[in-house]
Amino acid sequence: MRIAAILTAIVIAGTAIAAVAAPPAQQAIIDQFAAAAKKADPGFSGFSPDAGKTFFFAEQTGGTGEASNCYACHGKDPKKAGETRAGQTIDPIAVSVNPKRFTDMAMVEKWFGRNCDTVLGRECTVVEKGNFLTFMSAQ
Amino acid sequence: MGTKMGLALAAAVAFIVAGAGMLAVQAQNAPTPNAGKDAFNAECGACHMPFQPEFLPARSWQALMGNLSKHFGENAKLDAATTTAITDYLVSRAADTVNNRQALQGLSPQDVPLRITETPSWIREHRRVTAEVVARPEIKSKANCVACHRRAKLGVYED
Repeated sequence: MRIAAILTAIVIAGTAIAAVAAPPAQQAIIDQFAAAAKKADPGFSGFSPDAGKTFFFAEQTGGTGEASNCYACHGKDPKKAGETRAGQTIDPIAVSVNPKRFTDMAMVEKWFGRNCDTVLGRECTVVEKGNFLTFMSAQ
Repeated sequence: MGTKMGLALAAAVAFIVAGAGMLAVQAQNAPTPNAGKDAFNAECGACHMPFQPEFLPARSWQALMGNLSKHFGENAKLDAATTTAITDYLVSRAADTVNNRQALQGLSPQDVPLRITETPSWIREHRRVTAEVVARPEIKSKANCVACHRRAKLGVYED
């Protein structure tokens, strides 16, 4: 009986890990966002890559800058390089082609801090950030 | 080669090597004079060519670095320590600090140009570059120096 319970637990844990597509370094960042989301909302049940995708392609209003969406600079294909308005190349944001993406929390927060203000005119919520990283980590 | 001469040469080499070693130690102990430059290249260079500080007066760099959250249509804010380090570097190499007369030409002391492309010197040098040329997809922006000046990052614009 006890062994069955342990086996069940292992299977469930295995399934949970299998459902997580992010490599360990990115997952560590996502986990930090998840903990913050759970703290803010006990009903929080996990990030959605689909919501992250919708967010990436969404047309935003209220931004303080020129761009009104993410792909204006990052491009419509996350696996390809983007370009700043000044003509500088931006490395791809899809983790599969750029494994260094989203591995440093300070870097992640710096760019969300800037770009969310530029594009949305506000800070992004922890759920928006987590959805975004979950989507890009699976790309 | 005589033994005496060989010894003298060896001594000279040893002296030079020791001297270089001391310089290296000094550089390690110094309060990282290149920290501001490295931060400038990494942070500012993430979005645009890290323009040579010698193109704008110190007052321009101070104005720009004091308003990074409104940076030509982008929020480009940095933490306070990085902002200070970069500002110090830019001011230390600014057009008026190093007396770059060409960059300062036509600017009065009250003028605070926020774009290199607004300075009389830049405008004169680029008077034959039309808006159509700048708009080409491979150029895109007047800030994209390297599109035409391939060695711009090295400070070479003689082409």
